Amino acid sequence: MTWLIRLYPPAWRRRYGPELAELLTTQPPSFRTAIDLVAGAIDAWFHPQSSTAVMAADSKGTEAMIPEMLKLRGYGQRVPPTTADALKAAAVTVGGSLALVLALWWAKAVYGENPYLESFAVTLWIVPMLIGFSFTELKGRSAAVKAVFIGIPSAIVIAIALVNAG
Amino acid sequence: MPRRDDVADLEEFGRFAEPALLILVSLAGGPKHGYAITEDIVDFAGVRFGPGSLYGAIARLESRGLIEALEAEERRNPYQLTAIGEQALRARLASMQTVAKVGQRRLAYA
Repeated sequence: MTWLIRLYPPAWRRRYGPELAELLTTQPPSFRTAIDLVAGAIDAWFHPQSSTAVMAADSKGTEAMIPEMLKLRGYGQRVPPTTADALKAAAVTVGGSLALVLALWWAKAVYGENPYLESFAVTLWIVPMLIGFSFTELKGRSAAVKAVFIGIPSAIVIAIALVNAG
Repeated sequence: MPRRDDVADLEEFGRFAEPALLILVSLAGGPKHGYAITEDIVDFAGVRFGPGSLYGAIARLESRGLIEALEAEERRNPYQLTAIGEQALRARLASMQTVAKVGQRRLAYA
């Protein structure tokens, strides 16, 4: 799983890569760890760290620095989903799938037999399920991370459906 | 009834304040490397952060001067609290203590 460290920006890898790799050797590989690493890499690209607090201290003094430092904005931490979150995810998955079935049913009634409709009917249910992950596996992640984890697999699913129909 | 700005403030701290705070608390007990920090947090808080989350928080704390790296031991880099980090931790804990006292007092009369 250490290969996922290559997703981080080069400067970040030089600074933290070896110790992160060392930490990874202490725990068994898991899907959750993989998501955590990829999310961390995305955040590292979107939010490169700088010494803004130190600069604030230089200009305003140490007293002014404390509130500046405490403006800690969170990225990458997994927030445990509640039962309500799980229900929301289930509602999105089931509701989205039903909406897709109705839409495809309507399209079939209007346009008749079509290989693209057949292909979408088999694969598109995955998309609402991925969107539902924003309430569970991706809860607490930044919008960028959610966009990547939901958008890219959704695009792949749609591409597979199109290739399959073509 | 919480004020809206209070709620917004908590939300702003939400995702990042916890790992950062727990790392600072862990390092208040002495310098530690990533694995030791992870296990220490599991012991005293019952939370296990993923490696990406842990190092995301460490990078932010270090860039803000709250913690600093010591000389590397093989591939492990121990970290320690800086004076600024200690000040920040004391300030945050004092703030939490105030909130806890108010909450407990109000619950006593609930």
